Amino acid sequence: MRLKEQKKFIAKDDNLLPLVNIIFLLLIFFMIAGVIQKQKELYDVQLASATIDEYVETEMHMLFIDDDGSLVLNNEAVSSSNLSSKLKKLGDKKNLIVAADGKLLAENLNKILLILSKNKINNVTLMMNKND
Amino acid sequence: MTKISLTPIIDVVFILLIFFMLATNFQDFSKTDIKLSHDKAKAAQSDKRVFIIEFNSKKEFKLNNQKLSLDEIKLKIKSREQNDKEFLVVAKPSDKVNMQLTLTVIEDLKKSKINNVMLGVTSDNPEDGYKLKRKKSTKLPMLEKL
Repeated sequence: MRLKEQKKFIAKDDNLLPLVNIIFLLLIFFMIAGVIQKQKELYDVQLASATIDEYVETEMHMLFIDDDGSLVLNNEAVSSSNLSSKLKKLGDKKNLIVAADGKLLAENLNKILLILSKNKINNVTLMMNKND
Repeated sequence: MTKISLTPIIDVVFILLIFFMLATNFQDFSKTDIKLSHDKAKAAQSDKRVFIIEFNSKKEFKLNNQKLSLDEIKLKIKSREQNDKEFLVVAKPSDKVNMQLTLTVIEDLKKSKINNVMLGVTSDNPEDGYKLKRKKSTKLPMLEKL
């Protein structure tokens, strides 16, 4: 009697193995290289790049300066004319992080720094993108 | 032989991958603490040598009004550091210099271990400009003779 030829089991998933490998690699990359944290709102400010000191997120007042000189102080758009009054409202603790656009010209920066200086803010923290 | 189907694990891994791709953040910032050097405020910085580095958008540098390259400026300051423990360096960009160049110069100075760098703020009053002659009074900052 002729026996029925047994069919070889061919797993259909075998073709997926290279895909699984790549997905695993991507997964490991994102898990190791990335940090799970909220993306910082930069208000369209393209920060300059330099690597000086390590930036650590702290509870400080933040002043964003766009390349056209427009300002955002603590999530609120302010004009340069009323920046002084807004700074006075901050009280004594005037530790300020200045996040200025890389294209911002020194003449515009100088105007803002003059206002800060007149409000007795003589120490600022400049924020920038870290170089690779 | 029974083989485990890979489809469920692929589903889970895909979901994990999408989660990590969306949730991870590659933003990395740097910062520098800097003092603002107001023209008027210089009188208070008594008995300290002041090096004023002026530069323009063409990357032409001047140290206390003398044209030098940035490397030469760094060398001058570093050589002076042996004699004067207390000195100030004021980086003063001209009007058309952008923030990127300003920070690059500050970064360069700080990498050369010149840490007491200040950012020059020009007053709107022209009479408050930086005076480059050494004052007779010892209480005023001394500018380095090159």
